[in-house]
Amino acid sequence: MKEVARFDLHQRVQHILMASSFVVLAVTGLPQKFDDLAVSQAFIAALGGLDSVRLAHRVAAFVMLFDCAYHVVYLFWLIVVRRRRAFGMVATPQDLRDIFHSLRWFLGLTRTKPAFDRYAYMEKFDYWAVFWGIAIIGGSGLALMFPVAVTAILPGVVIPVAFVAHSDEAVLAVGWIVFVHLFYAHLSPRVFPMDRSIFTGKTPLTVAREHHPRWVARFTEDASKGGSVAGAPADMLASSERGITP
Amino acid sequence: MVKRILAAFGLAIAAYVLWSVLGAATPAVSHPPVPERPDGTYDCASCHGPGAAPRPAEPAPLVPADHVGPKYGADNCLTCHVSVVKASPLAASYATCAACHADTDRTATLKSGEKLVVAVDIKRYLTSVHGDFACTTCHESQETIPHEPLTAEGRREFTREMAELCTTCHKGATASYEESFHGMAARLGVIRAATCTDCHTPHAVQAAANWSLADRAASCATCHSGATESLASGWLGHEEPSAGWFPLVFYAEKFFVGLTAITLGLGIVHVELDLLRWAWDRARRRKEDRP
Ligand code: HEM
Repeated sequence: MKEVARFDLHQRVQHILMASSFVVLAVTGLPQKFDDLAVSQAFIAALGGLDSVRLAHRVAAFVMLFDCAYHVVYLFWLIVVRRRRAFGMVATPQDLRDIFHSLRWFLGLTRTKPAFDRYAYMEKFDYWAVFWGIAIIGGSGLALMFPVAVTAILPGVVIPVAFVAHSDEAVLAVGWIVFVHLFYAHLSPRVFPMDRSIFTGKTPLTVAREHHPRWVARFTEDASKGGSVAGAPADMLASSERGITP
Repeated sequence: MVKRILAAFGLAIAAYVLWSVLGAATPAVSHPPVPERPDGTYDCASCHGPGAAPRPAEPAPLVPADHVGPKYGADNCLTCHVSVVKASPLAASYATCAACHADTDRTATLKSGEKLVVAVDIKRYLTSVHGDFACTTCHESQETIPHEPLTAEGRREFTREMAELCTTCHKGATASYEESFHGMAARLGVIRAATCTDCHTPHAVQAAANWSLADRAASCATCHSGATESLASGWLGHEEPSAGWFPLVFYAEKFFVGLTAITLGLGIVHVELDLLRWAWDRARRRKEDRP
C-alpha cells in the first residue's frame, strides 16, 4: 500500500499535546461549571477536592499554552527559516466555492464531490476554531488565574467578562470536538474506525486521492516535472521527505 | 393569715421583678442631645467629666470613680451607655454584651485551640445597617450567660457558621453568591473561599451604596493580596448583569451563547447532511449492484 506523508513529527507531537491537555482541561473544567450535578461532585471528590481539580486544570492549561507557543515557533521556523510555503491552512476563495459545492452535493444537486486540496474547509475551520478558541479561552483563563496582575493593566470588568467567555467558550469547544471533530476523525463512515494520519503521519494514497485529490494532483504533477523528492508535498519537512512511501 | 402575708409578699416580689425588668428594658430617653465634636465623636466629658461646670437645670452625674482602666477611655462611654444616643428599646441590651465584648482583646478559644477575637466596636456597629438589631438577633446561641461553648472547629469554620446566619434574611444575595465563583468553591468544600462576612464585616457593614471603591478593594485584598480598585471595579455585586448593569458582561454572555448555538448548529447540520448523503449513495449503490 502506498502512503503519503501528511504530518511531520512536530505536527503529530503538537496534536498529542493539544488533545491530551484539552481532555484534561475539559474534564477538570466542566465539573466546575456544572457543579450542581452529582457526577461533577463525585468526580471532584474522587480527585481529592476542588483544589486538586484546579491544580490539574492549571497544569494542563500550561501544557496547552506551551503547545501553542511550540506551534507558533514551529511555523516561524518553517516559513521564515526553512522558507517553506506552509500556508495550507489559510482560507482561500476556493474554500467558499467548496462549501457551496459540498452543499449542492449533500442535497443531491450534483454528482461530483468537491475536490479538496491538502486541507478541506472543515479541516481549516477546525484549525482556526482552535486557534481563536485558544486565544479566547487561554486569555480569559489567564485572567481568571491572575486577576490582580491582569487588572493592574486592564480595567476590572475584564474579570467577569473573562469568566463568561471562558465558561461559555469551553462548552462550545467541547461541543465542537465531540459532535463535529470526533465525527470527522472517527465516526464518519468514510474514515471509521479512525483516521490515523495525525498519529502515524501518513495516509494511504487511495484515501488521499479520495479526500484530497487536488493535493495529490499537485504533488504528483510536481514529481512529474522532476521535483526534488518523488511526490513530496511542497511544504513537508525533511523528516518526512520520503514522500510517497511504498 | 400566714398565707395572706406570704401571698402579699409574693405579689410584692413579683411586682418588683416585673418593675425592674420593664424598667431596665425601657431606655432612659430623657438624656438631652449629646454635643458632637466636628469629627463626629461625642463629647461626654463636657457634662460628665471632671471639672465640668455644674448644671442645675440638667444635673449630670460625674463619671464614677470605679470607671478606670483601658475599657473606660475618653471616647468609650457610648460603648455601654448606648441608650444615651440611641433611644431604641434594644439599646439597653447592647450594654449587657458590651460589658465584656467591648474589651478589644477579648478572645474565645475554639475546639482546635485557635483563638477567636470576640470584641465588637459597638459604636461602629450602631452606625452600621444592622445597628437596630440586638446582638442576640443574630447570635441566638449566645443568649444565655455564661454562653454555650462554641461548636466550630477553628476560626475559618466559625466564619462559615456565622455566614449561615446571613442567609436567613439575605435570600437574594445568597442566591447570587451561590452562583458566583466564591460560592461555588465554598460549596465544593474549599474552606478558605470567601463567604459573606469576609467582605461584609458583620459589625460594621454599610449599605452597598455607601461602599467606596477603596473599601471594596481592601475587601478583595484580604485574600487577593495586592488587589487594586481596578480589580474591585469588576465586582458585579449581588446583581445579575443586565443592559444597565455591567452591559459588557451582559452582551458578552449573549454573544457567546449566540456564537455557540450558531457554530454548533451549523457543524451538526454539516455532519448530518454528510451522513445522509453517504447513506443515500450507499443505498443507490446497493440498488445498482443488485442483478
Ligand atoms: C489553555 C488555557 C486555559 C487556562 C489558562 C485556563 C484557566 C482556568 C482557570 C484559572 C479557571 C478558574 C478555576 C481555577 O482557578 O482553576 C478555569 C475554569 C474553567 N475552565 Fe479553564 N483554562 C484553560 C483552558 C480550558 C479549556 C480548553 C477548557 C475546556 C475545554 C476549559 C474549561 C474550563 C471550565 C468549564 C471552567 C469553569 C468555568 C465555570 O465555573 O463556569 N478551560 N480555567
